[in-house]
Amino acid sequence: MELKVENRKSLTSGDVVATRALYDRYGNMLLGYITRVVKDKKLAEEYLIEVFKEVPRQLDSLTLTNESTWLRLQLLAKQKLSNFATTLRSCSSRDFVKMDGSDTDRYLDSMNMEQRFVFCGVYYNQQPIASLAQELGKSEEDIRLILRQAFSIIRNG
Amino acid sequence: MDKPIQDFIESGILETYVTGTASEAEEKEVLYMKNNYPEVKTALADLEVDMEKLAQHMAIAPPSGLWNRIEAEFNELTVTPNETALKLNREQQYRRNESDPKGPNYIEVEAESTHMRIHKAWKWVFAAVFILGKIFLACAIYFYLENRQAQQSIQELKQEVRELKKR
Repeated sequence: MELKVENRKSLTSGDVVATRALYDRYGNMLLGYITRVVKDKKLAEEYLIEVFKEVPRQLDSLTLTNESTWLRLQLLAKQKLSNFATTLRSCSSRDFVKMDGSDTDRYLDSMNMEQRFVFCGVYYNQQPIASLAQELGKSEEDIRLILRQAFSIIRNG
Repeated sequence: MDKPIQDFIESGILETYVTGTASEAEEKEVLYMKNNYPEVKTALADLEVDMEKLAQHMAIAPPSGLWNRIEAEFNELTVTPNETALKLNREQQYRRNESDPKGPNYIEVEAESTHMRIHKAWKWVFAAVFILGKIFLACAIYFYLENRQAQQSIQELKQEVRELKKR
């Protein structure tokens, strides 16, 4: 999934309105995700601004495809956070900044060590499957299955 | 469901795809399967819902002024007015454009704003112009007074010369 960057410099007021609509819908979700990655609320806000600065240029790819707008927005954030992601190693719920009203820790606490390691490696740290397989001494197929188990835990609450 | 399709769904490849960690070959494989097998398409849609659900659980409301900061960044680019509703539903527009390949039928015009934004470096230029203005004003007053004094001296000298000529 790659985002196509358009080389359009001028914005229309419609672009701004559409971006605002995406901000209202996904801004809180994106800020929550970014805060978990950078572990600093102020810095996360700066990254959120960086992401939404990019949104008007990518409105077409964000909204015209039949893929989830949220996933594409998250991918955009991941691109901005790529430097951070490589520095993150641990993924215990204790490592995260405590958020008011957030219960994502519940999901992580429901996972075993292996599932949490793989899920966080992929979801927060953007680690390739091959790299995780090497670290855990398992095959890539095994890592994908562990990731699937982690998603089952999320799905079943 | 066919066993190969079920095995594909249960292999975890869809999870790597939605998290953006799939390789290029895996992405192509997933997209091919998605387009050809409704079961894969459904499973992928379920995963997308899961991802959104997870993100909703970790959501943090942005501070009230954050959008204004984003909008201020937009103002550094040229924002041109058009019909605001035009792009609210971009999918509808896309469908319209598909039937009309000539592209969008709106014209970009310059924004009518009463404000202008300038680079911060200009404040030093303005300060220098202000200080220079003061210096020139002081010089003008000084030379005006000097000139007035010289004129008075000339008048006095002329007066003295006239008196001397009378004698």
